[in-house]
Amino acid sequence: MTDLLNILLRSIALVFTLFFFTKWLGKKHLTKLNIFDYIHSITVGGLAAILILQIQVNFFYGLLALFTWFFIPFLFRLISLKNKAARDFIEGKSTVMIQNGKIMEDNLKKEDYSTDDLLQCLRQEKIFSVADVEFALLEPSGDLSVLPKSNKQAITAEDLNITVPNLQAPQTIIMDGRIMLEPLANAGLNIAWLTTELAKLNITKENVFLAQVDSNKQLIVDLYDDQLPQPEMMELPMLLANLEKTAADLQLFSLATDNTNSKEMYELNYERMQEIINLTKPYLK
Amino acid sequence: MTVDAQVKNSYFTVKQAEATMIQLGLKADDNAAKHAFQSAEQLLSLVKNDLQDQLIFLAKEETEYE
Repeated sequence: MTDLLNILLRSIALVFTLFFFTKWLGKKHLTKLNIFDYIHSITVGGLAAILILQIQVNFFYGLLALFTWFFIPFLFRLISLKNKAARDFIEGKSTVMIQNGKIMEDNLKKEDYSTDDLLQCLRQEKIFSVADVEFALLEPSGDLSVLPKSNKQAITAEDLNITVPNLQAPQTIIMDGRIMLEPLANAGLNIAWLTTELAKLNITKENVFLAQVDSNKQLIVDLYDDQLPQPEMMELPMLLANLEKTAADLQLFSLATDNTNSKEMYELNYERMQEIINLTKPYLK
Repeated sequence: MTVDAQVKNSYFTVKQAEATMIQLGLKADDNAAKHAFQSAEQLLSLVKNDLQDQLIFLAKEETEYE
């Protein structure tokens, strides 16, 4: 019974200790593991297991060992941040695997990478032919960074000369039915604005499970009652539709009139309306 | 619907769109969007003025016709 209690207490103590030590090391440790981080994770897991199950081991000696295994990586991290040479030594350097479409066989051998491994990494990047690759780097984390040849790269809005609005992260202003004041203020809005917008959608804030506001100050809501139709903000698409309708009407007026001055005026304003539509279309969708 | 009524309709749509553009220009955080809404507002103002003049012209023509 004492042993069981001992194991229970050790487990609880270690859960909290490991939680705080991991927090101390930071988020980077969780996402990008280098070789040392990998060894560190295995050793810490082993140490924790020994400490929990082998009750004859002094708990505080174990904690000292754990602390050492967290303190040294922390120290390495600090040195790495200050010194590039130390960073290269501790975290490792990137290795060029493909350059100008040619596989660097020596580097492949050095990194213990087979051709299959390389092709598999390329396939994960949705590239199925080595000839499509301009440059590929094996990062210290083990990830392969690939730059496809320019004619194989995805077309961007810039390539097509299309104006696209700069996207900003939407702010969540109602979560679980509660108004989040800080994000609301961050978006430059207030409760009065929110109340007005919800009234426009004919809903009360008590019915809203989640509400977000985008960079155009458009409100997107999800209701508690899934049976109700999802309200949509139609203000901007409606404005675009009205602009397009007016442009069409002006063109029609110009065709219908015999008066030269009126015809010219309608044509000029039709062109102006087209310019307005082109200017604002990316932001009114 | 008479031409006069149709132009009047377009005039009010343009007037409403101009007011919305002013509002959107003030609300926009993105500089490119702000600039687009402000330019659109200026162009809409020109369209609105032309349509307003046309409405006066059409009203005068109608009176003469009567």
